[in-house]
Amino acid sequence: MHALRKLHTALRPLGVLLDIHPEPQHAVVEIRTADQTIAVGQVDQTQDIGEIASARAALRQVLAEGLFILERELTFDFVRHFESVETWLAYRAERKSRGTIADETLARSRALLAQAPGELCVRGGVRAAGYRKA
Amino acid sequence: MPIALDPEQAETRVMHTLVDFTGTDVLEVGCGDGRLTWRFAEQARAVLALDPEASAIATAQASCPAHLLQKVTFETADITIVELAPAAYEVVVLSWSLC
Repeated sequence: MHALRKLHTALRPLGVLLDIHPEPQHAVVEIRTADQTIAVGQVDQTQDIGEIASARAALRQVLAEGLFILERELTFDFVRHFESVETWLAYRAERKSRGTIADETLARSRALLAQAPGELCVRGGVRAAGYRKA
Repeated sequence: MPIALDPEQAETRVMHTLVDFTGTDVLEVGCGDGRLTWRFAEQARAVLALDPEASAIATAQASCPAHLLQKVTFETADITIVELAPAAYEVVVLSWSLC
């Protein structure tokens, strides 16, 4: 919340705060081929979901204090595409991604990608909102 | 391509639906490697992009398109500590950094 107050000060009158953050939900793992999309599991993001709740509480607080006015919010799917399970796991390791993935999800993904050309996609909901400085 | 993040451009469309970046001074918090920065810097007048991870800032600086070098500044900074000029920006972007 301290950061939000600092950002309020940094904005010019009627300036806009654009906040983009994930929805509090587990991301869906899919295998997409030319013919079909198969959901194979999810990324358990329980810890991240807890932090999202805290972040939203901070936003509600500054709105309640009258620092910002919510103008509009939109949600959309953000999809990360990977050519293989290994590429995905390396990406996660590089970013020290949290969240856990069941072995079954990885095994099924590898099996499906071995059967036909395709890609592994991780699809998560994202919320974007524009707040006008009050 | 081994990795593609939002090739559907959903994030870009939503961002530009919510905010008109044309000619604005923008502060981006949590810019990472610049992935989102490139999606609004074209329209902005100037961008200050911050991230607490020095390695991410180094990547962003190295990959900054030449035509944006004059208007985009990347700095390693923690938003809870850094001093910000008051009333300096028309837009502040919290890039997946609030949580």
